[in-house]
Amino acid sequence: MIEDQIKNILLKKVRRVNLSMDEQRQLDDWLSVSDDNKAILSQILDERQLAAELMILQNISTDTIWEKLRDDLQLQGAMVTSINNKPRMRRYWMYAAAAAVLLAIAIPVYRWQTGAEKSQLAQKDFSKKFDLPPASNKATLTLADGSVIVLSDSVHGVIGQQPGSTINVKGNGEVAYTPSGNNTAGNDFNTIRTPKGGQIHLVLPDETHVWLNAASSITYPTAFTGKERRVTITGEGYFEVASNKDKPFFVQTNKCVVQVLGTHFNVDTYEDDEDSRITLLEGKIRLKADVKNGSVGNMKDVDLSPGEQAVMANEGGNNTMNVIAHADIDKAMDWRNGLFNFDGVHLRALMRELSRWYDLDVDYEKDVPDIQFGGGMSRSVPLSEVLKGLEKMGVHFRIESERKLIVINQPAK
Amino acid sequence: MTKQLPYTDTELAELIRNGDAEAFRLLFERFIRALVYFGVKLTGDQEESEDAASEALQKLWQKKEDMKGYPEMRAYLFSIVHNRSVNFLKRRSMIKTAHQAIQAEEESHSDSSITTRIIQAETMVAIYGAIDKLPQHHRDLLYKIYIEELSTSDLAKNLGTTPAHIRTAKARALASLREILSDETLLKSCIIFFFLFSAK
Repeated sequence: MIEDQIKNILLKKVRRVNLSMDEQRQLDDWLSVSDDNKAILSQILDERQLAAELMILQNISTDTIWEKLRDDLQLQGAMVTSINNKPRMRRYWMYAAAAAVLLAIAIPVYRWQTGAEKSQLAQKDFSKKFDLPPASNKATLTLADGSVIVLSDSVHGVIGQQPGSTINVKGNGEVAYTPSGNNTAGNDFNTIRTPKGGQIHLVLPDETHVWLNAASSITYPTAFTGKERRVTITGEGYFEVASNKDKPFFVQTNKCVVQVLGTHFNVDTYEDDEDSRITLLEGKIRLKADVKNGSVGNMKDVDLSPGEQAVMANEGGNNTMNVIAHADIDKAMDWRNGLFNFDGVHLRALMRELSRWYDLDVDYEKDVPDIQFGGGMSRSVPLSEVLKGLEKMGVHFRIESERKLIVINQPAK
Repeated sequence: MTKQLPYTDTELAELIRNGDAEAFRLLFERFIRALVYFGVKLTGDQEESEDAASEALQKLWQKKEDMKGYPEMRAYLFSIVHNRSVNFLKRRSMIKTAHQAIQAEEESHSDSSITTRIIQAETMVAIYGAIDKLPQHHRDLLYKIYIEELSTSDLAKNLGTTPAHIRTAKARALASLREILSDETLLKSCIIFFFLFSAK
């Protein structure tokens, strides 16, 4: 039935899902019929309007209506299986609110979609022949003695005792170190590595939280016994450092050392990316030149304030660093919020991110097409959803093997 | 949660024709919000619209033997609410200045406009249903963020956690909301609600 199709299309619009050409045509036809139809579309796309409409639905007292109707019709028997009779006031507000939110978050995806409408290429159904799930909670933990423990969602509980701390794996991809036993240790280091397609949440013995993105690693002592706390990271991690003025916290990257007093910041230092980015959300951090790997900027320390981002790159053999005063915090933090942020990102960088998240190899048939993207997407969708979006943007693929994708310059016939 | 629909539309209609009160209850759950919403959009009066929706369902039950099938039942329900709403506006316009009422009546007379309003009502109910299916803690969190307008850091303090936790939880809540909305059978999910509620 056409009405059902329109309803499904409208729901897709609410979710900012790409429409097929067929669906788009159907929607256009329907919109052209009347201004009322256009009004409905704008109503469900505007979060405030939608919230107001949903409030009407919240206020309907269905239980009361049913009880009256049941009495009027003298219905009996099976009807005793009444739905819950508790007052539902408590729940009432939520619906509109949540819908409003849904829209707010969905907007970047919408931008992606509008740019895609030019494509004449029929949408390919990747999911049938080729698909990969998004990253999950998995990592390997290397203990001080060199032994390796594989961490996944199926591992739970206390998994080991290290000098000065106990390692506890919780259900939601969290690995926590709690101080225990003698604190005389200090030279025992553990390393957690996430593979491509993995992520992990680490709690250090000082209650500092680290979220490690895919294809990253962090090395840390099993107890912070010295005058400072020092960890080393590769790849990308988000830190919430527990405040301790007596023991400054240092994060060593391949480009610099970050000195911390107690703060929240993101370190993006994948070796295969052109630049490293350190983004400060709260507190204060100091970037120190890394003598071992060459200079940063002019060898001076640089302090970052909240909202600032240091971008380190290597240009013609010289290490450079620029501080962006009003950084795009969302862009730096969206990975923690379950989103890919593709704003202003070039195809090569985008494919690198996908390759890390979906454990995928990407190669290029000829040149890397010069395409810059906007918008973003959920990181929890299967790869096929992302590829569908890219197809619509005019990026075409060939599948070489189970985990290998070739970007081609002409659409496959 | 993933309980399948117990009946197809056709089966549901047939059971109602045979006087199955439980099937009627399912029909009620499926349509009541859409019908009331449909009425409210016409009359702007919640109480009147609840009465209209109730009357429509009542009449359907009384004439159940005459109903051919599910599409007829659906059309019948909306047409009763529509007619009663138009009458309500006429009556009210005799008492008050009827400017708005007449305007609304004119607007609502064409068939395509009625269809549009039905689509609107059922789409809204589908979105509403998705939110209703969110786990309680997700709804609570979104409530605090968007209705109480607590900032992330305040919320983190209240709940004794970190802002990053809040941001993550929020992203999860939204992701599950989108997932629920992506269910193609959403429009028919009222029946599932019935089981959700009765299971408590």
